[in-house]
Amino acid sequence: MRRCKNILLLLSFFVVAVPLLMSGETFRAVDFERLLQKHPLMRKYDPETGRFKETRSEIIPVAKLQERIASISAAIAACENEKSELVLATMNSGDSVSEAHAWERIGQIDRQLAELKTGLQTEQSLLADEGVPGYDKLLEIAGQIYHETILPEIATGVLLLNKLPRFVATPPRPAGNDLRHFFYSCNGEVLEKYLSQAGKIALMFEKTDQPILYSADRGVSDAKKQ
Amino acid sequence: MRHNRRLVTIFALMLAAVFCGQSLQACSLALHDWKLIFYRKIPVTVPFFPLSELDVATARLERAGFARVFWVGSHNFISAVAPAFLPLFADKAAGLPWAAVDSGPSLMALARENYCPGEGPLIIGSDGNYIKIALFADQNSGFGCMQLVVQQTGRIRAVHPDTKTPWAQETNGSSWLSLIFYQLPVPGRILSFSAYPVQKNRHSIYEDHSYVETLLNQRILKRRPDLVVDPYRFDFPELPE
Repeated sequence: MRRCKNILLLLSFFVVAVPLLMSGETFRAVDFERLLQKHPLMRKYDPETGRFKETRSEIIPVAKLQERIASISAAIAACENEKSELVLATMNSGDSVSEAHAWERIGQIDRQLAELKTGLQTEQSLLADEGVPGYDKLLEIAGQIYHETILPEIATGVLLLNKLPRFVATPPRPAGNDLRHFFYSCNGEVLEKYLSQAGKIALMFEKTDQPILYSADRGVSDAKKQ
Repeated sequence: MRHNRRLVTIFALMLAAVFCGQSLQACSLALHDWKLIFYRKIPVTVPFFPLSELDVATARLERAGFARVFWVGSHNFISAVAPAFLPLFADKAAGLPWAAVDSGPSLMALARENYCPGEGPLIIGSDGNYIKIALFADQNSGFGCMQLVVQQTGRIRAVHPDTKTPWAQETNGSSWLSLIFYQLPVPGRILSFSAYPVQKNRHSIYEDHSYVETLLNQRILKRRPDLVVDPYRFDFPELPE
């Protein structure tokens, strides 16, 4: 009985392994955690907040935001004041040359004002969210890291079979508008498709949190060096 | 000149529709992939209708008071009578008296003449004006669904000779009318008609929801997926310079 079981096990190994060896196709585990840790942006990762320091995803203290808002407001007031004095001087001069120069300067100030007002709006909206930038800012950085680490691995026709997060980290604190952004931008179809396949992925691999590469070409790999 | 007259007539008809149309909540059920199939840019002396100018005046009125507006430019018949229709808009400055003033003395000279205590006028000048006419066809509907856009662009200069804080501004104005229709721009085939800016936003004047639903059910139009696309972004692609 035991002998029979051993033969069956051996046969099942050949059923799986031989076609893969013959065709050159292979499954490989890849240590993306190591690749991620090598990325320069990961040095700025703050596990406590789940965000990246010195980037647009970083949480800004409310006091600092208030300071920035005060500074932008002062710059806006200074621009408006300069414009006001310029208009008064031009009206009084009645000279067409100085009028042309005045309009040129007014155009410059208005462009500067437009930039300042956009900046002010951004800071005010950040203040309304208590200094917590939206997930979109975090996703920009995550997307950059993904493009620079994972994409090169799978760019040569290799399939990444499982990309669930591997290591545990504190979930980033959401901003007030994040829920609205999620409902507007999340692709429901993709999520549903993934969930429908999740069971099969779990059956194929013991640990579904381990990224697996499937490749018809054995030549591509950083994973092999592990 | 003859071409301009035709333009004026088209614009006047579209404007008439703006006033006759019933105001509805903006909405779009279809997903369009607009391809530009016709484009013409025509220089004009003055915008036919001061929608962008109204926007500038309202923004100023929110910060400082003035009693009337002088709209300075080389006016034609349409632009000269256009201010009479402004009270039909809900923008704050639309309720003030607007006077179409022919270009002559500079804006600053006009401001100097009106620089006196009390609520002076707001002086708005429009120059470097163009009318852009574009026709888009929707690839998602096999080029059956179309969008006609008439856009006015130009440089807007405004001066407010306020005795407390004299003020001036230079901006690039842009206003447009958009008509979306299926095959022909005739009654019964029109999907929507909208204008920009009305109270700083795109304003939907007319929308035929039942007709859109019919075209969607017949799979002539592609349905907009609710979750994928922000429902508030359904304007036309940027027009060439």
